[in-house]
Amino acid sequence: MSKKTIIAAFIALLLGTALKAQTYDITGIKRINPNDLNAIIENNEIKGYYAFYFLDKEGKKQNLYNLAILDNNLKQTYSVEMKKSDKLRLLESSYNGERFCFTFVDAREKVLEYMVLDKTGKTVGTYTLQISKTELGSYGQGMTEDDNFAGGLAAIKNKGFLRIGMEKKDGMKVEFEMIDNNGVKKWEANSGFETDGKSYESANFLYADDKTAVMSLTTRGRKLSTKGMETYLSFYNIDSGKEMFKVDQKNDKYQISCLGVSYDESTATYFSYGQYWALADNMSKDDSKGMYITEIGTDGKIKKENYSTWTGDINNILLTKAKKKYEDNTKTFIHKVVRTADGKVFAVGEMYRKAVSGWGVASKILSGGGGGGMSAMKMILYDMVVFEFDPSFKIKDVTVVEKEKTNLQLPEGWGMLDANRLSLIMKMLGWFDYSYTIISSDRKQFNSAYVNFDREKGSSSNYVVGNIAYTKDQKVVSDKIRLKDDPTRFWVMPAKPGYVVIFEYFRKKKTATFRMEKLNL
Amino acid sequence: MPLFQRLILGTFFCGLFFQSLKAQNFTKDFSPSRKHKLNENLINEINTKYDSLVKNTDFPDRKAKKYIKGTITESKKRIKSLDSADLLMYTDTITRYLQVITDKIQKSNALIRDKKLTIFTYRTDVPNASNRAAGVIFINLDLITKLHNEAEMAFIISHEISHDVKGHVMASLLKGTELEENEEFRKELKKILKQDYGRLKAVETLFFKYMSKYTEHSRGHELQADSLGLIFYASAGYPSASAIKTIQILDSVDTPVYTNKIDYMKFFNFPSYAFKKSWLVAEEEESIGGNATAFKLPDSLKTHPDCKIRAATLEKMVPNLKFQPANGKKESYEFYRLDAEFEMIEFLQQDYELSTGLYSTLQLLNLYPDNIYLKCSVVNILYELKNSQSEHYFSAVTDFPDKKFCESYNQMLVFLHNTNSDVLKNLAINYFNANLKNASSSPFAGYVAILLKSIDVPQEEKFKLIAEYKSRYSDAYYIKKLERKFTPKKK
Repeated sequence: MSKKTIIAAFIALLLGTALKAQTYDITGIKRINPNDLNAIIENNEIKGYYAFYFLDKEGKKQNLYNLAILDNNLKQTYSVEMKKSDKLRLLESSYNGERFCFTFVDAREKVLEYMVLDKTGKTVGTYTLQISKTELGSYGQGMTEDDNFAGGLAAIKNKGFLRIGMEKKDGMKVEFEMIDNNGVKKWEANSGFETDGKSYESANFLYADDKTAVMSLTTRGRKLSTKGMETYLSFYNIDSGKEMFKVDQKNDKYQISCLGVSYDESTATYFSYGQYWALADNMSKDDSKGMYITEIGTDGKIKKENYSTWTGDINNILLTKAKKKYEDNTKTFIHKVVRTADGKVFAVGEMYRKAVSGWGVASKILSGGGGGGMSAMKMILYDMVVFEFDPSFKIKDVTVVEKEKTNLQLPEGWGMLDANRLSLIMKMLGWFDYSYTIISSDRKQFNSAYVNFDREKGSSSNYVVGNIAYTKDQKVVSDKIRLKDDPTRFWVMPAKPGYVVIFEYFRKKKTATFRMEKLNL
Repeated sequence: MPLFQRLILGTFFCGLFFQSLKAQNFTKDFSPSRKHKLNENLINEINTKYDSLVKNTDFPDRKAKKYIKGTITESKKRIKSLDSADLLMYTDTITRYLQVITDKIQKSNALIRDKKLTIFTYRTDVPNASNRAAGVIFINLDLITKLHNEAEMAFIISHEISHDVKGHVMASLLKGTELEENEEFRKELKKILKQDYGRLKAVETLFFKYMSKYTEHSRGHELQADSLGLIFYASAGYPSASAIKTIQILDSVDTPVYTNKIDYMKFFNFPSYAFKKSWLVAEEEESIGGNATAFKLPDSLKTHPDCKIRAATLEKMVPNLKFQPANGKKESYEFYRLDAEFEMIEFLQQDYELSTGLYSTLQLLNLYPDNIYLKCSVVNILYELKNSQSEHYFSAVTDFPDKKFCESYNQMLVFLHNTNSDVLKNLAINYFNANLKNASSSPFAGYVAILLKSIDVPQEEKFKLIAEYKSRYSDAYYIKKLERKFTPKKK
């Protein structure tokens, strides 16, 4: 570290980097790692943000880091200095109303460290464990941004954190561990699947409160195969780790894939939604038939359900409302379904289709059929849509929010995959324009954000941060923020309803700014 | 100059002075200061004084001379740039009043009687005052609004004069260079930078060690300025209690002048556009408040001593000085304080500090419900807030509710955050129709009327609106503002 840098770092330490609420500036940064700056979300609600950054080398194998925690108005509320091994990398953070949990990974030693901090920023416990290579690999993949579950940790309100891991044993098995508020393991559990021979399990965390955790658990005979595949929605008691009940994701008509779960206290029911296929369909290859919404009682019984077909129910209403025509093979990817306090249900989706890429074809011809790293196919992203469902979960209305279409050139070999599977991969990699959905604590409002490249001339940066909101006045409205500066990189981060946080990084200036902007809704 | 001639001139200037006093009738209207720019001669005079200050200083070495010369050059540039930005007031009513107080202090103290002191009112919402060496003193506009009488202001001015008399600015600069060139410090820093690790902590300890020496020096200056200031102040015939009170005011100077709750229904409920009570309902938010607020700068690193220490030091001096008893005559300070409050509203609008601007405006409207300027300011701020929402720079011009703000200001912030551009537009239009329709003689009212007309109007039509304004008003300030606002920016 040069004299100038160290003096600058000292001054930053003395003055603090937070200037005022609404903006948070960090100066003198050379690189930016998206995991080091993120939102702290608890049950779809924004609690704050964190910024984790290197301060100094503290020992032969140790670094000194600073962890700044900001509230949901970007005001710094914590500043915690910590010494960590120089091999550790910050993976994610969680907040459960009482404790923060920061997950670090040492990729070389395959070690995970869960560091639990109390509200004063004091470390109250650390839980460290060895993980499998497969689990380690899963942390390198894309993360969903709008849930309180990023890599493998779920916040359990005031009680602790639920870890979902993978163990290489007779194929691959999932394992759950409950870490309490003192960083101590309270219980561990498994999937409950009883299979002979090798089996490959996977778990998808969907929901947790202070009583129950809900996960979608799948087992299959072979990796990535649908042969012998069984999927259940499993409900676990958060205090004991015992499975309370499970709901088969296959009924006498359809097989379903759950995308989200929430709990409604007023009706004491779980609300679940996702896509469905015919029993004879191959879920990995065939297009889904439509989307479903169900209400599940605390006894595991289905109280209410509805299946809406893409080609019939959804397209019919979409065609009457859309101002423009879409190609026949245009599909809708449902990113999030929200049930608001007034009993309404909204599904936020994005239209897309697979198409031939002129650029990809030309590249193939120029490279003598070799491909040149590009597929001859591309994905086109179209408008955002918000479907409204009535209390019986039947589709009632749709709002189309127009945006510029986005062309996504597919990498070589990807063109062989069907649009349905491609959309799931794109979702995992965060390639859709959609960014996140956030719900207010009273569930009266929600906000969904997307980022779009606007071709309108005259702006230094043509990026547009779009927002769709359901307001207190029970209206679906939208707003667009055009970025005025031209940052090297930027992210849109979830913010409390009615606002958006834009993180902009300017490489030449070595500065980064979190900016909270109010939406004009 | 013969005494008779001086009396004639004095009477003439006094006449001018009190004429300008009468020009502001706050119950009806307010005319912001527009012609307060510094003239070239004054700037040159200040620059010459800065140059002679450098010339007459004994520098320990060439490095120190170079450093201080550079700082002085920056100071000269700063005055020029503040003047260009219209942030320094010199020939206006408020500054002339401050100069009168300064003259009174000078006349009563032989030590400073012949000293050339130049007082400026610095247009800023930071409640402070400062000595800039060479007899230049800045009294910040917001500080004027926070004081209660001439004596309190006299103590502030006496304190700043004392800094100048003692040459504290130059002494601080020399101390700074001393620190920069300190061999021991440089050696220690060099040693730390060679360490493989733990450098930041070591640098922090080193800086704290040397910085505390510097701040100790600065705190000493403050106590000196208080003590000498109290002597100047007492000689000028001000009462001792006000000096102590001034120090106590400084301790809570960030609190707004008015903290009463604002009756929004009174201002913004219209027959054709009813005020929604839901606009005042705050979202329930769980705070993840932590340890950051607990961080306090150690006393050893503060540049100013604690106000309690300062007040106690002054109290010890009081029995040894001869003070005049507080007189019962009506103070004229309140007029200038109010003038400063109105000027602050003008400044806040110019500086796009819109939430604080609207807050101060509505609070003053409670006192002066018929004031045209305040009513126009309400419309102007609502119009600008509307634009900030639709163009998405609202967070740059409006605060977010915060525990550090008073309850009434937080309520205003909740109100603003619960609105959108449509609500603000409707409030501005309805407020104008209810309050300003018959105020056509006011150029400001004409200006805000044009702003409202320009909403949702195509660009080419906006030029016609400028012409319309020009046909009715000749106010160059608002014409220039409209031209700037309605001329498309070059891409």
